[in-house]
Amino acid sequence: MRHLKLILREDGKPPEAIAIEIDGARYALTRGGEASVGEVIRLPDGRLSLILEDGRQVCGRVRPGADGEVEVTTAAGRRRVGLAEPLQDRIAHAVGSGSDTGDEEIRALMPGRVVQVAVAAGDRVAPGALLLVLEAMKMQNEIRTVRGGTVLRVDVDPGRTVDGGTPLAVVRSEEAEPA
Amino acid sequence: MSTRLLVANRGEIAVRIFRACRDLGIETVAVFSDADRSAPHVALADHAVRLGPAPARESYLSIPALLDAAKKTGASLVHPGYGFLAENAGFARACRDAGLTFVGPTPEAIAAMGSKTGSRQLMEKAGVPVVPGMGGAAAGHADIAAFARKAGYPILLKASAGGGGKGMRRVDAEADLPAAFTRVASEAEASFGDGALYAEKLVERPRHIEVQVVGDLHGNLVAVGERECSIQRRHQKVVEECPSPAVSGPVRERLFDAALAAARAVGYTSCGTVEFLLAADGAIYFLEMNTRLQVEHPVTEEVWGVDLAATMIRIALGEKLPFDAASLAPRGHAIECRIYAEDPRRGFAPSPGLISALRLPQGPGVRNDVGVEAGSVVPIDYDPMLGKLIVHAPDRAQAIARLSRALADYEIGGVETTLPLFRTLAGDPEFVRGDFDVQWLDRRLAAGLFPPTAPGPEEVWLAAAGLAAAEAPVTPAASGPAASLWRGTGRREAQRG
Repeated sequence: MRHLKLILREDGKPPEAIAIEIDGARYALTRGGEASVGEVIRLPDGRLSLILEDGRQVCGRVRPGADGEVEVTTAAGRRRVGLAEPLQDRIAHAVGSGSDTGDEEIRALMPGRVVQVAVAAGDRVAPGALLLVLEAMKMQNEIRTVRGGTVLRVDVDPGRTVDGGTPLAVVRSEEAEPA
Repeated sequence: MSTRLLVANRGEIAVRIFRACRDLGIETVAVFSDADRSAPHVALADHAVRLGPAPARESYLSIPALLDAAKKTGASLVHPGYGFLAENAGFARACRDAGLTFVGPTPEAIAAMGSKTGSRQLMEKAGVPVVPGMGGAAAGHADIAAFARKAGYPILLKASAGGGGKGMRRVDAEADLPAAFTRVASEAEASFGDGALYAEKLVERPRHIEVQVVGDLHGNLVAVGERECSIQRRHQKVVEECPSPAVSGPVRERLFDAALAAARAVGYTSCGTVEFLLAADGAIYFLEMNTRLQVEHPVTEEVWGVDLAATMIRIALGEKLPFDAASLAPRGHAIECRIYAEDPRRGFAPSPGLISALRLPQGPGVRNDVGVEAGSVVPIDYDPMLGKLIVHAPDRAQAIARLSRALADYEIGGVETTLPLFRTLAGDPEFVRGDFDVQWLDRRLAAGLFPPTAPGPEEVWLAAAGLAAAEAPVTPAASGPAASLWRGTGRREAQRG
């Protein structure tokens, strides 16, 4: 049994968390509080075939991209789905992600409750290090720094409930520090 | 020694002609540039000769290299395909001079139809209706202004040596003429090495209808139906149909008569196509004659039950036409989509690169003429057409339904293609009604044919499953036990004997 958390981004909507639970070919997907179950197999030509509980079958090719998007090709054609693991999602959508230096401002992607704060102001953190854990939709989301550096400040304490978009912490990357 | 035919071309048309050769028991000779050593047309051929580097000028357009290749392999027939040297009278003549049989019309017929102004005069003399236009090339824009005052605006400026939709411009008023003239003349100079221009009256919102003609060396000449080619993007055909939903009895008769008169006027002896504009009032006007096999020939083949590519070769070998007007009967409706490696959502920008996946549709009424395969690289050096999807059904409505079905099964991965355009068209009410003209698609595209499509819940499901599967290997379809069962059966069968 494996669990995976994903962030879905659709035009004009706030980011949405998706949980997926895998047990062999049985996949359970939780979205917006509703769970659906399907059987997923890989076809000989590399495509995936999904059969949902009501018997609906969808078949297509799935290609993860580096930009926080997944390309899905089905009979309806090719679509880009804004879907990635939380860290990849933040890399793709980080404020000022075009630059390698400067402050990395971490915000809550969805409403939730802070269950753990793993760092304090002044800590030096490596790229990808865990900063805090946010529980949303009954899932624990690990919030990590993309670039690493020095924790400038932490804006929340464990137990606090936050709205989507609430600032959580700021990490200043090494290069941005005054010499 | 058996007969050998060299195809002076690449891509799907080389593959198509090789198939015709196989059907006729003729050996095949491929030629290729450095960009095409691993192309399907080479692997399909009995012989293959490198022409030169990737640029067409040094390979597929090099007449000396092509003649050398024919000599080296002992080919006696040369088929030019379409594009490249297909309508180059000099190439047809060079083949004849080298003792080779050019699979096409005579160099004289190619030359006569190759000049727009020359062919117009020829057609007027033969009684073929032409769009009111200037008798010859204009000396300057004042010449064109004088013509336009008589014929009335809008007019169409055209390069005398032009073709394939290049070197054309609409002019709506005399004030715009000098600038347009300079521009088209310099385009024509750059594209065709000849800046000569002429003008003709612009027929507003016409349809493009063309007639397939086939003539042999014994004086037989037959019209094999018309094709509807009005779905064009910037004067380039995108979708073709047979028959035209806009043509019925009397108009068809006039089209066939005019096409046969046009072909007779140049002593045409091969497969050729006479293109017309069909005005809203039913008037037809000769546009030009394509002295070659057309890209869209398969729709005619499907409906009329003839093999045009093979017929062309048999004619070149001196055979009589295997059919006449009385023995031909059309059956049903066919539609062809030209599949290009172009991104229709980004202004049809070329999308060269590696074809990572290719799944072709199958089933009743579906034909694929394709020049690439999975793993092929679409080179930047040539026309980015990958192939053609052709559907055939008892009538147009069923043909469109089959087209939708085939498009849903079609997958090309790695490069952007025009498939999304065809999926949209197949569901367009005006297309389905057959209610369009040659500018229809351009107007549609300008208005935004592709609303952004948000992924549906099932696509999100699949995407999520795909991301999860990328980490945990997905259960593969059970194939092991079945395979061993077959082996077991085979052994039992062997023991029985």
